[in-house]
Amino acid sequence: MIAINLLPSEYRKSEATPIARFLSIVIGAVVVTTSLVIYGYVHYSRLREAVDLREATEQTFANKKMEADVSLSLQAEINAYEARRKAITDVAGGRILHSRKLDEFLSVIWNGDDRTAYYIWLNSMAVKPARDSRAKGAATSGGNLSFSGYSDTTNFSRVTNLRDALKGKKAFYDDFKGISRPVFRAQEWDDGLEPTSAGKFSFDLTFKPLGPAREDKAVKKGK
Amino acid sequence: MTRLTEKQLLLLTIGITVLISGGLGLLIWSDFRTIDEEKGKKADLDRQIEAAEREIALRPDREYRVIANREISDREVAFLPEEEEIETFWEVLERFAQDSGVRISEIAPSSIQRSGRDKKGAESTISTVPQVLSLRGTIDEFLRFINMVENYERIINVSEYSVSAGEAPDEDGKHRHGIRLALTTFTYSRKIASTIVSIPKYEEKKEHAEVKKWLSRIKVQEKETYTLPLSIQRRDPFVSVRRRPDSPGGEVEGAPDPEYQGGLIDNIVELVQTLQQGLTFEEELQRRGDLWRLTAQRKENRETYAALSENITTANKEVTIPELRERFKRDVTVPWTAIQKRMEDMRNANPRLGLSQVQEWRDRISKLYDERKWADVESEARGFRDSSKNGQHVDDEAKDLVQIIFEMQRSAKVIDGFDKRKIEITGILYSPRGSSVAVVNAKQMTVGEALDADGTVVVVEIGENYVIFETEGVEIKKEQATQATKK
Repeated sequence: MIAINLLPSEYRKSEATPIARFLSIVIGAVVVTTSLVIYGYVHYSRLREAVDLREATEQTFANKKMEADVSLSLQAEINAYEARRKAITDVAGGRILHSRKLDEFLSVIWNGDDRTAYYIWLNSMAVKPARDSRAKGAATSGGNLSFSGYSDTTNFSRVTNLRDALKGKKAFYDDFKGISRPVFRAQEWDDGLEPTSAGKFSFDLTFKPLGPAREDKAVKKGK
Repeated sequence: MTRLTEKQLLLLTIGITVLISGGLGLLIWSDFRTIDEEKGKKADLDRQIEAAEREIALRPDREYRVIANREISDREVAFLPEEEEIETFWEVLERFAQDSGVRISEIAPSSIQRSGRDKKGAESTISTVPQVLSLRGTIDEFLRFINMVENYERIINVSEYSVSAGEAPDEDGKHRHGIRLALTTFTYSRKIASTIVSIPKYEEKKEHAEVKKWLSRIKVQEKETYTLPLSIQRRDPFVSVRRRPDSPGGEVEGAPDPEYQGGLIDNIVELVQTLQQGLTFEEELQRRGDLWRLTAQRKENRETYAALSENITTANKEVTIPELRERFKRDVTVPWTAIQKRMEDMRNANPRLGLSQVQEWRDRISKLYDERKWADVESEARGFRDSSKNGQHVDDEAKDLVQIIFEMQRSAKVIDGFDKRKIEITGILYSPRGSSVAVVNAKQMTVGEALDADGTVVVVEIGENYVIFETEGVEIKKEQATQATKK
């Protein structure tokens, strides 16, 4: 018996996969497979490798950082010692030894009670540090020594003799920048005491700024 | 269910392929981005590792520096009290007041606040503690008081003071003055940094040459002190000299003065105590092997000893009141004998100086010599002679250096003497053929001629702008109108 398919050709069951579909399936499979392979390579090889490398580097860094932190702590300790050293130098090296200054000053004032050049007595004396000079930059003075008193005569030259004596005592005057000109005024009393007249005077000495020069001097201890 | 046409199936196949491969492409792209990020992170880490390695490379040197700093730290802060010690500050002031004779009427904190910050505002390890004192005392008492304060082993600085003359004497006859004194002391915290690193093999590394190098570079700040000389008869200038014409105006000539004689003993006793403290410190420095400070302290002690010796001789004649003679014997003569024995023992216990120590002396003296500080060369060389028992107490290998030191001392003395002679070269008539003439101290001189009659300074060479003299075996080059230099 002969069977005849009367269906139009497009409705008939095809005998093989059409070439277009076949090709698209094959190409699709190749593309997908290749993509999968590339993905697998990138994800499980390249990425893993990069992550592993980064993690290993992180570990190395963590170890190195610990060592570096120790080194930095050592440096911080050195810095702290140096800062303290500087502070100590400022404290001890920059000080004026006032017992020395006062001792020398009293000796000049006393003058062995030699009345030929000057003979004086004091009523006040003050030593003051420089105020706020550092805020404006380098200090221009290390403070002041001021004193006032009386000379036993109204002769002005006796006071200038004292000024010369102060300037002439090198050990004493070396720490000073200068001495003011004397302020002098004749004074008379009527209280029955002698001398009945005297020269009232005052002086102001300016210390040199505290600094390295004084530090050098500080090394020479004692008298 | 309708069947898909061939065309639809084709499109479906292509669509699925594109979808799947697109998804995979996205994943791959995302992975590449992650890889780039990882690489970036790694590069950052590499840079940080490089920086860390640079720090690590500095560690050995830093360890040596820290060791040097730690080793010298106690010496550096020797005169700074620790924070907890500050309580003794007031006790010390009270003791000094009693010892000196001043009377403290008030102690108050200064208006300047305690400070624990440095100039940049950072927390500092050193804090200042200012105090203001109101005192009454004679000028000598005040002077003794501030001297004790300034010489105290822990640093106390006198910031300012004022003295107002007292009007009338007190009941005991002493003229006391009103004194206002501002003092500052300093404290430090032993904790130097927030993290103190433990250094492995510390003891071994302590002996390393690098540590010694750093130690030699650190200059330990010395605290200056002053030994008050005796000033027995010095008038108090704050006491008015104005008197009634009929007042005696002083002591009767020749009569024993208990106050004067007592003051004489007081001053000597104080000097005896100063010397005793100085000797204790000298022993400590000798024990530590701190030769530099030892020399300075030894010099100071010898000066005090000499001054004391002279004063005791004087006082021995001047103290005549029996009760005070007894006191003089107890408080001066007995300790003085002990001091003499102690100094003798210390001289005998002087250790031999090794090569490195003599080298240090030589280097120091040589530096001063190059700087033409003749007096300092002399002083240092004398210190060396003291420490080495005139060069005898040194190791054999250092004997040559001893000769060099002595020669420098001799030359320095000769040049110093030469400089002081004020020899001036006012003109030179130079002739390369050897007949040059120099005008020295206004006198024309040629080679071989002596400057003075005794022939101690002889011209040995005349150059274009200089003359070389020879004196006591030392040749000294002096340039025209400039200072002398050793040839």
